[in-house]
Amino acid sequence: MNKNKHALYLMISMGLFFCAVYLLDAYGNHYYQRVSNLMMIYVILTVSLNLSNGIVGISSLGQIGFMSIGAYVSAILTLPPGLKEHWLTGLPHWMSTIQSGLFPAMILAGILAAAIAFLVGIVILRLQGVFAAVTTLGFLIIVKVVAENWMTVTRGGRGISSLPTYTNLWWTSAVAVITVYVVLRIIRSPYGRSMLAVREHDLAAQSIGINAPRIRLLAFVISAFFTAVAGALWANLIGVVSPGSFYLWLTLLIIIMMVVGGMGSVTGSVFSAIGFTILLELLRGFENKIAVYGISSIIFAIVFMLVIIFHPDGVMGDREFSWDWFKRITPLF
Amino acid sequence: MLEVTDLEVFYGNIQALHGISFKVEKGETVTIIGSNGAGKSTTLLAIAGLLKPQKGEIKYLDKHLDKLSAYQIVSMGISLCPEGRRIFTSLSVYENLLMGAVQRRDKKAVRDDIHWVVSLFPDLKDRLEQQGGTLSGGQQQMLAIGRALMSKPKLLILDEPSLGLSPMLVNQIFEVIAMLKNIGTTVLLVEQNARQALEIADRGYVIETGMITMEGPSSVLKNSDRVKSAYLGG
Amino acid sequence: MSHTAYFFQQFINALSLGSIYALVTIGLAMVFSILRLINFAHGDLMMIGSYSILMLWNAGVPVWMAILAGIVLCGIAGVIMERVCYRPLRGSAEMTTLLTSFAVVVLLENGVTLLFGPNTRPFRILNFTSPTFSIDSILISKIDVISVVLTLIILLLTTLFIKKTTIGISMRAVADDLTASHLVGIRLNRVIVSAFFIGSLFAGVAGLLWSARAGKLYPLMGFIPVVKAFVAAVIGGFGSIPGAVVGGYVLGFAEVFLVALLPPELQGYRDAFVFILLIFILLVRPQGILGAKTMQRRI
Repeated sequence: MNKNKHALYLMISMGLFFCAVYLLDAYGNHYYQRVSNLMMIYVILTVSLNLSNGIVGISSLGQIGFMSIGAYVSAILTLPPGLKEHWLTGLPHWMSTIQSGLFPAMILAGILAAAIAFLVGIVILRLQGVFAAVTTLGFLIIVKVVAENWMTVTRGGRGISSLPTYTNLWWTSAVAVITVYVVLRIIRSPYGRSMLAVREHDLAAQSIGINAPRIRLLAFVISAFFTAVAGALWANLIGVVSPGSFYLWLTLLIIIMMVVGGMGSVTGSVFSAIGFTILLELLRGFENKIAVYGISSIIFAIVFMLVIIFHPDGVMGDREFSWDWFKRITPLF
Repeated sequence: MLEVTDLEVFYGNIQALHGISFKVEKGETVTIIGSNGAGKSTTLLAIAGLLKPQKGEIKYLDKHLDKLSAYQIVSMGISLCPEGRRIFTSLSVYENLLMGAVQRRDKKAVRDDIHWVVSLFPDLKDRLEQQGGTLSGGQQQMLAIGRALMSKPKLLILDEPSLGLSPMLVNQIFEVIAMLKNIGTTVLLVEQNARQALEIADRGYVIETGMITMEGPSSVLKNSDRVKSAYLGG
Repeated sequence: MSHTAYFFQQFINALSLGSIYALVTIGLAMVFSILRLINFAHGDLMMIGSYSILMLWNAGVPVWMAILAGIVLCGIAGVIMERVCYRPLRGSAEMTTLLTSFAVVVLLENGVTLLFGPNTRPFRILNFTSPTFSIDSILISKIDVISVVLTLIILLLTTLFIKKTTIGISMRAVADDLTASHLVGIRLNRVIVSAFFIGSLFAGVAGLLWSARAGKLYPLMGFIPVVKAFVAAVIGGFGSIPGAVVGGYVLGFAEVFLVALLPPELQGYRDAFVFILLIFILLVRPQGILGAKTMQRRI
């Protein structure tokens, strides 16, 4: 009975969500569309990060490296052939004559990042927390250095511009919903229960026959896949990719979103990403008004430190949103 | 000198101590005996300020200890020689002893006291420059007691000093305790080795599953049937 | 230039760079061994030191005064950082403090950007990079001599401090066994504050040498050196000070000679190679090259 009710609520809210997407996509102004797109991209990034760092407890600081890979793959695939021949002289001939659409670019971006994540994962799964963290940070730096120096493929520090802006709200919101769905399914599968067990007690989980390293590797690879897809969406939203875009600030930003939402809570990540995107835009508006830049990063860093000191479990800990919460507020539910 | 009243300590949700009360008078040697996991070490860590009790009070020379940090408790003249020795394995024997006197400012007297400790434990004499971790178990125990003495404690607390040692070394350790007793040091001795502990102590307490179940002069405890059957092997 | 001369030129280069890495790594390792904290913001202390020196100098303070004041300011900044950002988190999980230090990096870098702008500034105090003498076509610049000599003096003093002073021995004791340190009455906060102060002074010196070497400074200048110092610490077996020094020099040499061997078109990738080296070492010898059991040593 309750289950049916919840399914109904879910369908209604999904319906409302996509109505909002339709209205915003068709009639919204450019600014709101852009912010909403970014919001959905941050949801994908944060939920993916939560899968690897929160749910299976891999200490990765390198996820934005996968985003960078995804963004560059998509940029290279979707750049118009004329510009490719001109700028990216290192590409093989067949690649510089084709121009891919967003969907194949996204998928290829995700698969390539997942393959790299597989290799990186084999290394870091053998390391303890802080060592894994710094190693993945090293990975992030490697990705940036390659993007800055591989002139004939990435155009170096100047970045690749004039990308077709294929990304729209339908794409970003659909991918966001799929990401949330996939990660929730993973958590609720028997596999997922063992993942939580892995996070709590690695050794204990192994002793009851859960193959901890394999599960963690799988989570890391899936997380990299969606992170790279978000990178592809980002590239074709902004229209420019450059090495500096995918570095420390974005890394910290998604960590903040994850920690404040609650490490281990998917719905917490969703709400947190939405909230922080709005906060970020408000602060940016404020910065533009007073023409002093950088305040938003400072405020974000301070908010993060306060949360970690006074409320280290974040807003939702590792609990998930439940319709039952409304029961307390109104008897209608 | 030390008075513990209704002490309760929890580890998370698990209650380790269910209201422990005992006292140690100045100049006395008091022993607490009990089996593994009865709550002996927990009691001592609470006195030393490493665990915060949820209930009860610890009074020492009429002052409350419960709110003080570990280093403040040391500076008041309490020194705990912990279970498992816990010497600094990467420091030399000499440095270990220096760390025992870390709060003292009388550098010269500290050097004299190191000589005194070495005279108590002649085994350490030629090993002052050796790393603590390279000592044998018995030598480590001597170093641990020596380090605890370096702060010139008014109250010396020893947690299982004979654990894992050969009978000969156990005797040596107890001889030193007897000597400390003779020069007037107040000693609280926690032991599984009830026979020797009761031999040396003036009074004793028996602790079982976080509670004091018996107390009295050592001579009485030694002859009680319950202590005999449970701790003295019949 | 002959082959031998070229080799010696690179050797001096490596010695000079390795000295800077050693200085940064000591501070990182000191704090890590006591608190199990990887302080990414340690690199920003380099940046704070360099900016302070430059700003004081620009304001007309005599050069040596500016340098001294900048380095002391750096030490104070480190102590404040501990008090404000890390002390409230005492006892938290390692990852929590690591993420916090990451936030401190972003905070400080944006703060400095806000105050002094994002741009690279020239740092040409004392003409540090001018060659002072040359032997057989090998040019030795002031900065190389200063880096090596200064670092050797600092290393000597540090060794004395760690071996002979009460607070130095206490630091080693705390790194060895935290509980026992409490029981003998070591005041943990004093030890931690000292470690931050000393490590930050060294970071200040390293910052001065680093910007003098590069002839410039910018808000993000400390980040790559600190992550590299982590690599050096791993090479040396984390947590020990001699290990940190050896690791720093090994990294300096590895980097300089790697770059010398690489064809020019690949030289931009040097940082990438350094981190590939890190991954390789961690795979083959996770306990570091020197460390035997230091990794297991926990406080």
